[in-house]
Amino acid sequence: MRSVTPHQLIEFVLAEQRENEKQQRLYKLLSDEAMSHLGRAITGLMVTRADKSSLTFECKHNESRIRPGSHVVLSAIEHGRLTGEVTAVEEAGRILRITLSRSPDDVFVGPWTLVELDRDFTPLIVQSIKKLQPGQAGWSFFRWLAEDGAIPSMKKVTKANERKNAVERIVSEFPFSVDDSQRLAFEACVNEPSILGIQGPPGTGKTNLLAMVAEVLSRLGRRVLILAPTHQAVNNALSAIRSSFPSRRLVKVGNALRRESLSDDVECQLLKNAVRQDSSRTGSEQIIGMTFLSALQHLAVQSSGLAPNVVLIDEAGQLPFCQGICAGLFGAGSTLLFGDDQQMPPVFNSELSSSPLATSLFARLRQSHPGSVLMLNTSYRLNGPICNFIAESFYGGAGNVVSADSARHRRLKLPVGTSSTTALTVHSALECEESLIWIRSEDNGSQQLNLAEADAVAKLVSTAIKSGIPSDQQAIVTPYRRQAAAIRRLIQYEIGSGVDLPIVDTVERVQGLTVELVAISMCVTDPEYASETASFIFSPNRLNVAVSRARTKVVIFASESILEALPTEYSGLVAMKKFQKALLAIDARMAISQN
Amino acid sequence: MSSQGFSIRPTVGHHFSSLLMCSQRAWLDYHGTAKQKAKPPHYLSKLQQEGLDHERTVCETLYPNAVRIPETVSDVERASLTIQAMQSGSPAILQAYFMQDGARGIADILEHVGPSNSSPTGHLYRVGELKLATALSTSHVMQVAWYRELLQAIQGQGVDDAFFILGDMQREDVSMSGVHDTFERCKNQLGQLQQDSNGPGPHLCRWCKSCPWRDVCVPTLASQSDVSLLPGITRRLALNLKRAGIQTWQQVIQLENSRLEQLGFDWRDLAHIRTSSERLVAGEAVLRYSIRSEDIRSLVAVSMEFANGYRGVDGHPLPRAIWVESSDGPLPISLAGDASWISQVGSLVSSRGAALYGATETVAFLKLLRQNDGPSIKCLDVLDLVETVVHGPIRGLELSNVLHVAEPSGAEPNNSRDRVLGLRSVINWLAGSGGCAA
Repeated sequence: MRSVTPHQLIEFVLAEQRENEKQQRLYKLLSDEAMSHLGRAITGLMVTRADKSSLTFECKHNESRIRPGSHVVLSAIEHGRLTGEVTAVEEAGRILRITLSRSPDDVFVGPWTLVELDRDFTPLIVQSIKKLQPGQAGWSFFRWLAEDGAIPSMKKVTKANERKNAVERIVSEFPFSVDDSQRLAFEACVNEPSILGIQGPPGTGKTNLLAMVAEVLSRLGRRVLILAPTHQAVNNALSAIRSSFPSRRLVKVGNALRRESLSDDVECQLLKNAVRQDSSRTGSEQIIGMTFLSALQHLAVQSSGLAPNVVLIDEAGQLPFCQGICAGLFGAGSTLLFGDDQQMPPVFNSELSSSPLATSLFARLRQSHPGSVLMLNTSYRLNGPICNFIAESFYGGAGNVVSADSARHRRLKLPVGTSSTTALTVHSALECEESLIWIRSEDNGSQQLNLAEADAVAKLVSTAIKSGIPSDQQAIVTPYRRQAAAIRRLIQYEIGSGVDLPIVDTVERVQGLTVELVAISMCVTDPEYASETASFIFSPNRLNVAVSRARTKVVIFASESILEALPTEYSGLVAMKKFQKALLAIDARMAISQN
Repeated sequence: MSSQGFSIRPTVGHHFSSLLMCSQRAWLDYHGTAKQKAKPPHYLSKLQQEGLDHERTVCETLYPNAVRIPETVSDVERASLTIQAMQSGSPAILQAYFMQDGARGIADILEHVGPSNSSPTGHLYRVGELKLATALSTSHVMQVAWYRELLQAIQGQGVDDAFFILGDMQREDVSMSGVHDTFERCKNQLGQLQQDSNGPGPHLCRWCKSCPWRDVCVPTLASQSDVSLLPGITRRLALNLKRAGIQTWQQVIQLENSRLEQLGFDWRDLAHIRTSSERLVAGEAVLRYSIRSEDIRSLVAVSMEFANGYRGVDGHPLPRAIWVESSDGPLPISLAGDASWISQVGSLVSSRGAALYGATETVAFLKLLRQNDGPSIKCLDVLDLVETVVHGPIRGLELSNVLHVAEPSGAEPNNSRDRVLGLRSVINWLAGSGGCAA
């Protein structure tokens, strides 16, 4: 493992800022059409509703990556500019609600162009890293993860009986049974180690475990702080606690607009109010949640008065190492990381993505102290074959993650059989016992759009709908927004209006989802294009997340021609080989039927 | 014998790199002549020199007792000296030379693994390469796999792992068995190209800008009006078009949109393809993305004049004047004396933004402004813009080369004043005549 210094971390963060600024300068010179092509803009937006400080827009095409929480600039010729934050994206992106920074006097109906603004947190991150000094708060935590050979301090476990009793009480109260790997992880967390990682492969109950850990530590009188890279992840964690422990007081610190997925009775407050309430209590009766960057701002850089004993970081596999390394600045005696570095990683500027510092906090913990990572090994979501597939492909072997008894034998059952006019391939794919199927697409030189494949996917999914699998139990995942848009159109054509569409999107948008059936449309068939984009389309993390959304069936549409790719980046070659191995492990293979 | 009348060249390590970029490039590596090669872009020559400096530093630090195979003797002698060094069990051998039928290789390092009774040389070595990059490319790994194969032929057995010392002095080990099938595929393809007298034919791609054979391929593509002059057309798509009887870009744009979609084009790209064809007709830069032409055209051309031989503490050259485009022509603003230059630059550039050519000048300009609390001026590296958005045809990234395409009579700008004028031609060439609706 390579040792790093705070200076090197700062250099990396500044280098990323420079590359991002360079990219921004270039983007400003690209036309709206080009920006739309790159997924960074939406053109042709028309205002359909205007409230006091928010506008609702509608557009014909949205292939952008813009999502709730995105900060945007709206511009219209001769009508100036507006800035705001996206609060909702509906109807497959055709409807957007935006809260404006200032209310306009009158509103031009349109057309407007919307461009995403990248927020730059570099100064905050640099300021935080500069606080990492020998002898100061956070330095030990930094050393453990940054210096080759540095070992986390072993803390003596105090009040062992009290902890043990608290664990037993929680286990008995918890609505779900606790398996051995969860129990082991639970007990390890409750001992408040200096640092510990809990790896949660798909469906293994990581978030439920986090909820139990937060609750038991709170009952033991600890001040518990829950952090995550995104508002959504914080909200999910708090909601998980709420659903299992309804009497626990929970506070979300942050933007009141960012409540997606948050239980209605969890308050959003300013930090100072949360701190005041916290310090007025004799024990710890509330658990506070906020985003990691918010914690850097309020706890690391400023002194908020909040002094957590334990910090739980959820989705630590998506938290950039350069940010996460500052977690010691929060002053907690124990930092517990929950995540999975085999699922979605953090996003870095492409120019720096090969740097050893372009990694997550969780991945760095595994690299520096593999013995400090415990893995949950029973999936309650995935059936046996799907679980075996991801275990072999991404978790080092079939025995490392197993399907729970309750899930193992589940198979997709069509309430209504497919009709006699159904194409043979679709019929076989849906009706057969196999849980993983590879449907071989034709090599038609496709890049970001493959209409033949989109048509086949649409037929499969619409047949499943007509056979009784509800739309909300299906998901279609594809690397490209263009392909997603085409698939949506074709599904709509097949099933008609009045029936909801299943979710059709890139893998980033399906994280956290669980459905019965997943169809993956690889789209690319041109090996030259596959070579250029290898690190992206063959990413094992993306494939893992896509496949593991499904409880009972995964159908992968891919052409054999992409396996002829010769990626120029070695990381792309490694990804392609892993993908190839996974694909070739699927026994059930069919060709896209012509009838 | 090649079609050019030369003996067919043996396969060497860099052929793998060429193959991964472009099969035509690899074919020309075997069959082209030295006269056909273009001068490498200045930044590539600079990179090569940095690579040699890095190599020297690494070898002095990590392999002080290594045997170095001299490069000044004949190939036969170099190969012989390599074998001798292996037989003597040297701890490391630098610039090891392999010479076999139809094959050559120069490995940066052979690292001693240990003695071996089963090896004809009595010792086993593993291959290592020194790279300035901090991340591995597939061509690096293929190159090492090639040297490993040549080494195996000498020492009788292969050592599975090879290693790289990267630009940050970190060592990265790679298992050769993990890439064996890819290597065999590349080797077979190279073997076919080596024997092929015709070659796959040129195709415009992102690697053309720095390819040594660009002066062979690009004029051919231009004269044939090849379909690849339009952006977004891979070799596979070009093949599909040719199978459908479409050989030229003019034939492409004559087709109806519906037919183009049938042939594999995305309807979103069609407007851009038609605009690109208009630019080809007008001799303007063909772009991968449409740009805000007026915003680019309004940029002010700026060039930095550096004090010869003087470098700052960070090793960067010290600027002594800034040349700025004005209505009276390029204007020099001296950096000596007081700070009045700041307001002069600010008033000339103001809100239009500055365009410079290359990272050295752009970084120096921004740094100067920052260090002197200068105004916030939006700044564009035109070389970067060219690399990112220009599809072709283009003869290379030297300003003079770009000028040659922008204005065929453009002379090499060898001073800052002429660079400002040259930069204006490039800006106008990029912006085009038609402009692009924002």
